[in-house]
Amino acid sequence: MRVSAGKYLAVFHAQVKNLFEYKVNVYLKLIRPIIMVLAVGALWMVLFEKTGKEEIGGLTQRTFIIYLLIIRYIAVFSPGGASISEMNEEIRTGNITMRLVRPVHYPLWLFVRNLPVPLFSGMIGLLVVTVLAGVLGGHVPSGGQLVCFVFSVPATIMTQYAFYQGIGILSFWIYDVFPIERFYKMASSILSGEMIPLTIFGGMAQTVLQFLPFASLAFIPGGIYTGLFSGKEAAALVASQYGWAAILWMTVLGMYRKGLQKYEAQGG
Amino acid sequence: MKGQRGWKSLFYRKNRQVDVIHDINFAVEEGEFIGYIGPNGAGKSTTIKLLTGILYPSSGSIRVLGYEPHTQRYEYTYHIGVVFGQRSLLEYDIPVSDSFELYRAIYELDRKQYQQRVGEFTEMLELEDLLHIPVRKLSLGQRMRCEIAASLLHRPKVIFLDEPTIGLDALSKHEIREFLQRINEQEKVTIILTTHDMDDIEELCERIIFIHVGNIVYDGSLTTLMNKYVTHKDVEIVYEQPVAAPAAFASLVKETDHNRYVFSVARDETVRIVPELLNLGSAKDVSIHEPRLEDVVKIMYANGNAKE
Repeated sequence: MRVSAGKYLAVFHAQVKNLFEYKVNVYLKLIRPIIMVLAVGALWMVLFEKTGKEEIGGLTQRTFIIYLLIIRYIAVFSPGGASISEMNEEIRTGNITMRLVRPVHYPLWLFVRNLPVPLFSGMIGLLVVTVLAGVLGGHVPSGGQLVCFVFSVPATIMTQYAFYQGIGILSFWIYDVFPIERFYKMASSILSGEMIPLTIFGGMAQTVLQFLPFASLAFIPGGIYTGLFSGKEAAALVASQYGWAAILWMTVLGMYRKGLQKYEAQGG
Repeated sequence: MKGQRGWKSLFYRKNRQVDVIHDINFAVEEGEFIGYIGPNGAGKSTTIKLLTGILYPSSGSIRVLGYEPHTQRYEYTYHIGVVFGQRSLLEYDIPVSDSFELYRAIYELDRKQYQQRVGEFTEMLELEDLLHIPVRKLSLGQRMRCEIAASLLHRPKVIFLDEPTIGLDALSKHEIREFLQRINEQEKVTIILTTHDMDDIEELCERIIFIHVGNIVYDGSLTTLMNKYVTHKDVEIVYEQPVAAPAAFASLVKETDHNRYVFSVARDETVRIVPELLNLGSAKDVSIHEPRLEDVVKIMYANGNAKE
């Protein structure tokens, strides 16, 4: 199956036009993640002040805030959540039929269709995070850490999206996948280091957790940027991210093929 | 299919396998316009979904244009067009022209040929005033014209139409039928049409495949089908005064109402008998009704078989 970039660029372009038919909705979607990032940052600043702690999980207060801002910002880039609901609805109602009769790869179609909002949110978020990081001070990544971070972010997005696609594809077997999505979000918020760096577990537990795919979603990119990892350790973790992304995507594509074979095409 | 027995279904369910289609065998030549009809639940849409590669067959084989639809779906879909009357392929919130542009990219069409094609369809389907309107603002008839145009932009060799005229007014139906006929004749596009509107079949299709409970019960020309089932015509005569039909014609009387009589006359006897019926009295008005395909299909639905 050949993949033509032009057709998916056209899908992206059409979706941007679709979205901007409802401008207010778009502006709200763009600023919502930014508000969440700022809210989380403010919450932890207050927490630090109230508890009087100097460090959490090996990170100073300022670096910890930057860690949270970074991982929240990366999460903004992920087009996963919307694609679950769209895929679930299209499979349940049979509307996926209209995608399957065109020469497009459906998971890729969905990914591109759901990219505009997170992409634009991410670009605005980058500005906000950069300004905040500059204001807060704290750890400044070295050249090597920055390079590892830049390589880490795409792997994070691919892993995040693989999880969401996998949940969406379960719609071929399960009528309502939202309980699974909620469970995944709850579990991954802890196992990924989104709520708190995995360094809090320490020892063998931390070592095991940081090499699981969930760590790819937050702890690894956030940890690299904030200096928890550097050099060979950072490179090894980035390599593990790509390894997990490849395994997850092969699993997701296999599930998708199986799902298509099972698909019953509801409705006339 | 799963049986449900209240709370017990939380723990245990009996499954029953239902074969939607059993023994469907047919071949289609290039350029044919086929009506694929049957009652609700007969398996029409399932057949179309198998032919378009959406569903995987549990047994048997399917080949269209040399492709196996369900295993070669991606390459195969470059050569087919599909319109489902109850589902839309156009982008809901953007103008029709933007949807066309999207499909130009999806089917990787040459821009010059694409523009020529859009120009042809704009003229044939009168789309000029519709191209810059978001799809959500179009009426059903307007949207269907745009849907059909979008499904044909890439010059498919085979088109599958599933209830394309559902919910449309008479004028819109007429326009779409004319367009499909032209495409079929000029471009030799093979068209498989499923519909409950028998006027669509009568006007467009030379060949009919009638499917019932997952089996083909008739596969042949429309003319042969009508000749097989339409053995009589209804001759309606309104006389100045009530008449007494002689014994020879008494058995032909289908219904009477004062001075209005409806006679059921054998097709091949019509020319001979009608003048004699007119001589029974002073006739004010006469009309001859031949049963339509719809009447024939009702009989077939009721009987469930029309095997030749």
